[in-house]
Amino acid sequence: MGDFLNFIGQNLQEFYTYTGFANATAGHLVMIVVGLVFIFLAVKYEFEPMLLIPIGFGMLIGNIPFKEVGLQLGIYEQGSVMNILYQGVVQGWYPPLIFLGIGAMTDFSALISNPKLMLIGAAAQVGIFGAYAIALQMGFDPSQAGAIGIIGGADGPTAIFLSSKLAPNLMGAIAVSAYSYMALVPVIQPPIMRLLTTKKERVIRMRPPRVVSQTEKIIFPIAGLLLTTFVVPSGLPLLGMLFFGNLLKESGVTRRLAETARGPLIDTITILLGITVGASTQATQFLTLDSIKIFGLGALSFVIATASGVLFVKLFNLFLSKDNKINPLIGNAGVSAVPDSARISQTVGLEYDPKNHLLMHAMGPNVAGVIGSAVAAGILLGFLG
Amino acid sequence: MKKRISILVLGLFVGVLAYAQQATQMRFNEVLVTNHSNYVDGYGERVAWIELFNTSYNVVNIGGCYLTNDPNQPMMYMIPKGDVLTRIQQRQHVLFYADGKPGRGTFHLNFTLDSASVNTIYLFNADGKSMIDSVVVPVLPADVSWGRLLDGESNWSMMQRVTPSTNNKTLDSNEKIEKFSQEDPDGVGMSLSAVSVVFAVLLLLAVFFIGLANVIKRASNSGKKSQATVKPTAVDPNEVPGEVMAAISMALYEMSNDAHDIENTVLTIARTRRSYSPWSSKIYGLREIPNKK
Repeated sequence: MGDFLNFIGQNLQEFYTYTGFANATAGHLVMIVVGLVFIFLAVKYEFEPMLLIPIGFGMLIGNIPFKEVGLQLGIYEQGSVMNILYQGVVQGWYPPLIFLGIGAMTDFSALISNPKLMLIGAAAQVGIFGAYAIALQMGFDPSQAGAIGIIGGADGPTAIFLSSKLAPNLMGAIAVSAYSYMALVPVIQPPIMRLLTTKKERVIRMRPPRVVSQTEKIIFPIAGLLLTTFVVPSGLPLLGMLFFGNLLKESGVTRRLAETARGPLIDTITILLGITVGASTQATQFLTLDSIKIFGLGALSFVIATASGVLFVKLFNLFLSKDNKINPLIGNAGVSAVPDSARISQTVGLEYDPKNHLLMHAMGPNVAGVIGSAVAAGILLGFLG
Repeated sequence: MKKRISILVLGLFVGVLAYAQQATQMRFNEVLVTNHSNYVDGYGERVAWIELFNTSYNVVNIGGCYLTNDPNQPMMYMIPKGDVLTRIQQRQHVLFYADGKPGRGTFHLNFTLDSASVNTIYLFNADGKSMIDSVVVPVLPADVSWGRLLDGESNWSMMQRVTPSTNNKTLDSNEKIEKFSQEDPDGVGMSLSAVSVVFAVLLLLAVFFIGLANVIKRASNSGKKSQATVKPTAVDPNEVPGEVMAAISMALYEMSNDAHDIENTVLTIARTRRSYSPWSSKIYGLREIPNKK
């Protein structure tokens, strides 16, 4: 009997060494708290719940401490379930599929009706390259700096796609940083927009967008693909899927495919992407000085992107006739956080003129930002890949 | 007739794609003729060897292709089919031993190389007629190979450092990144050029669609009065402006399309519920009647 109890005792003691309590470190606890904060922000303030809930919960999953004895539990253990799901991030399958869904749900009419708004989408990409230059100064090598800079594009899938190619070791921090700041667009952008505009500029009323024909809508994805990818072929995975999704939507004869792309498919990929990106933030891999620097640079790139979009509109207005002026409050929408940054333009615009609805105008640069950030990613990949 | 042409074009396209992934992407990469104190084969012998390199980014199967040192006998040695090792991974190498002992396995050729004279080696495709690559190997000192300076590239040279089954030049750093670090340490050049390209691409798109809008406008004007452009008119103070209507419509659209966590606070439009399954309904399997207006 004594031997039996001794045996049970030893087994329980060994079992304890496998538990999270025995293997927890301060890093694990910090990351679990960060995950809980993400979930709190999503539930309480509805900051991008679709992103922050999966990422936050993924952080919990990824930071449950365990003893590494080859049980294939961790996301970095080859053959584990999480590792298999994570391959979509590592190999870059998920981002193009997300872009397929984005293409199938995006209406480019606002952009087609006023094509000059595309330039605002280009101007906001300055944030990417501003952050790139600063990252170089902080000691990152050019490929790492490029991967960090893309956070300024405010496009999670693009950030994941590029970092998986240029700096796989920084991908977790870059992805979490990109999605966090996308969720914080309502906090980051308005003060910059107010700071850089005058009261007179904020109440500029823009001409209503013209009606766009179905022919133009169908030509847009085809011409868009040909014109952009002939210049930047390295952007093909993202741009190809974006425009393909949009053609499914606009052709009018593939409604079922478009509905799948913008519905069940994008939802499935969003779940897998969010949970695996969250789980990839294992404390041992994530809590480093580099991650802190990346978070700082991410915030900076968002600020630069927003400022450059707004300032570009002000500059652009110098060359436009009185009737065609653009309200600089839509400059922030040049980043590709769709449709959040366009909503910010609308909200801030209404504060100064309750009858001035900027949403439709802001959607133009907003969707141009999606194209612009994918092009910028292609350029970085072409230069540094 | 149209259907047949479509199938033919599709067939040709698939054929071209398949052809592109075949052995045509293989190249001779390095040859060692006189092997005194160099690479030892699986049988413990030092013999002449020929290295092939897959220049493509696809897996290439060289089974069925021919290696020879006599142009009059292009089908001298057929690389056996069905050996998994003849599937060469992207940008990888494969080594053949010119020992005249084909019974030793797939990679042992039935001919040898002559160390006293110039050797010419050919790789023929599976048809035994179309030559994929050839190399003229000069007379070389012992244990010195004849190889491309960079794998798959066009320049050949004598190589004192012999590299069987590995890269002819070992790259210990990313030259592109090194160059960026040296030439553009502040990132200014990169930033300016990249921003210029982004602007150029989006400007190109903008110009295209401004032009397209003009073409469509002209076309519709020539037929009937254009309905595409909404001219701003004097606003009736009692009338709700079009922009307001558009904003409300947009907001309703977004609300009804977004997935929300707290559904009871969201304005939604109730969908028609159907008691039958789409699987059993033919209507879901049919394409809509084309709009011929």
